[in-house]
This record gives sequence, C-alpha cells and structure tokens, in this order.
Amino acid sequence: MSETEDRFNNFDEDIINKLYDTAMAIRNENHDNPNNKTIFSSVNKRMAVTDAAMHIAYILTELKDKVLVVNLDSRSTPAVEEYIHSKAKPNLFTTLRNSMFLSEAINHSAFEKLDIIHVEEMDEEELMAKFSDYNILSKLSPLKSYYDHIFLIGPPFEECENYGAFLELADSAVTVISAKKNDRQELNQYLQKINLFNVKSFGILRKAD
Amino acid sequence: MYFLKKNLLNIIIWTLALGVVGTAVNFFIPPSSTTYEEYYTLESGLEPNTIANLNIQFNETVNKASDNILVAAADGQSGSDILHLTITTEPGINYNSIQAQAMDILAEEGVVTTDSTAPNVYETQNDALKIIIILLSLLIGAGIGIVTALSNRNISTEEDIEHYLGERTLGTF
Repeated sequence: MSETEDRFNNFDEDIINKLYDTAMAIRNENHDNPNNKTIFSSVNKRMAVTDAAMHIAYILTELKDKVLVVNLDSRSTPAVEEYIHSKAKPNLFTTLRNSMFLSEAINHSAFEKLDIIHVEEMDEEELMAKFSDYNILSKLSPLKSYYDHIFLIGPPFEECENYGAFLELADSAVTVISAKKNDRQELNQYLQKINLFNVKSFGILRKAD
Repeated sequence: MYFLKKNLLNIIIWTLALGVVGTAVNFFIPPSSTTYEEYYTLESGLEPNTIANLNIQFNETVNKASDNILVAAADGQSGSDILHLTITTEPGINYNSIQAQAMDILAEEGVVTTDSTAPNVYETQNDALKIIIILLSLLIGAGIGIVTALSNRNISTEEDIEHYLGERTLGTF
C-alpha cells in the first residue's frame, strides 16, 4: 500500500478479515466468467451494502485486481466517498450526454486499482428514463476489458418500483441482510426478482447490527 | 419439520409460561364445598325420632339452598347426649346463616345443647375445574407459541437462509 493509500485508509480490518472469503469467492467466479458484473444490494440496508461492496473491492485491489465500482445509489455517494476519497462529483449521465463512452465517467480514487463512477441524484422515474435512453448495459460491458471486477451498488430494493433496471445490468448478485432484523417474505420477493433477471446469486452476506 | 425444529423451544416456553399462569389462577379458585363438622353435648339424651325429625326439618328448609350438596344433616344415637351436626357450604351459601337456622330448628325440636366443640373444617377442592384451567392455559400457551412462531418472519441463522431462501451464507460482518 502506498503512503497516500495508507493515509486515506478507512477500511475496517475486522470487516476485511470477515469478508475475505467472500472476496475470494467473487474473485474466483469472475476469473471463470470474465464478463461478470456483480451487483451489491439489499432490501433495506443501504449502509451495509456500501460497507460490504467497498471492503470487498478493497480486498480485491490488495490482491492486485483492478476494480471499478459503479455507484447506482446516489444516496450512498457520501458513504462511498468516505472510503475512497475520489472527490469525484456524480457524473454518469452528465458524461454520457456528451460522450458515447462510459469510460470517460470513471474517476480515480485514492487507491491505485480502485476506480469509481457515481450516478447523479434524481428521482426514480427520471433515473429509469435515463437508463433506457443511454443504454447503460451496452456501455458498461466493454469496461470489463479494463477491470478484473465491476461492482454495482444498487439502491435498497424496497425504495425502487422498477428494480429490474438495476438487475439487468448485473450478471451476479450479493445480497446483504441484517443479521437480526429482516423479513424472509421481502427477501424471497427480492431473490425471485434476481432469478427473473437471470442474475446468479452468490449468496447472502449478513450484517451484524 | 424445520418449523418445529426452529420454534419448538419457544412453543414449549410459551406453553409452560401460560401453564404457570394457569396454576397461579388456581390458587384463587374457591373450594367446591366446605364441610363443618360440629359435636354438641345435649342436656338430655336424644329421643328415638329426634334425628329423623331434625333431618326432615333440614330438608324442608336449609337443604333447599342447594341442588348439589346436602347443606345440613344431623346424626346421633337414640339415648345419646351427643349430637353430630354436619353443615356443608358451597360458594353462595353462608355458613353462619345456615348454622343459625340449624340452631333454630334444634330449638324448635326441643333439643337443648349445653356444650359444643369447635367445628372441624374440611374443604373439597374443585379439582375438575382446576385441571380444566391448567389444560386450557397450556393449550392457549401452545397456541400463542405457534402463532408467534408463524408470525416471526425473521431470518436469524445461516440454517434459516438455506432453508427459507435456498441461498448460501457468504459470511457475517
């Protein structure tokens, strides 16, 4: 780790240890399926999703993998920034308005192998319209040539009516739940949605509250 | 089967807890009847028909107070100066009032008492009602336990994740 990275490192060592196996599982899966894009999401645990995605991304960069995090939940931007200190302004659609290439929206972080794209803050209806207008999926896939892993941070499932728009961007999913307070009916509903979009579920990560 | 495995302990705890409540309630259930056994020393020996007459009088008066029990009954041997009086009460029947009426009847029959012993008191517990209360509480407890378990949709263990969601657990952080 460089001196700059060390200075900005807010990652929790305990969480890193606990998520190491998960990171390795994702790494192996993505090694077998190089086009894999993984969405991190939950029914209602926004912060836990950010924590999990960022720590796993960090573990993978420590293993010399290149990771791109596409933050599709504008309300998670401050939390993501606390980890990576890119000081990047949300620019996904702003960039696509002027350019054909999503790569131009990529911002570098304080960590050499960890890059970020934030989505701008907007209501769900507008977001869905922009997803459809700019065909994000087709622009996201070519980035796999530059990165070993692409992680998508999805907003909480219960906050979006059209969650399919996020799921269709992903090939695999990691679902984060609260270890203590959750609802299996809602979780089943969400997992069914994942299956519906043919997204492979890696499994469940439990956040101890 | 998994439902039982996961919730059996809770259901048992609820059942036992309500069972304890039922048992506590039983402490407040009055006895089904209380028998007061009294012995009186008479001034003179009993006449041959006195006991029969007393019981007829009791049947025509105080014994009409209950359909379930014999409220008052007299006993004694002809010529003996000891009269054995049994008064049985149940909820709603007052001992003092029955005793006073019985003493009036004795006086009407010309029986004069000179001395009496303190009554021996025997309580007959309402066992059937108590058993029903305990069984009902256990049943209600089991019911509450099952309803609580059914309404708990929380996933709390890795086994739950596998069983209810068909997913593997990647870890806990």
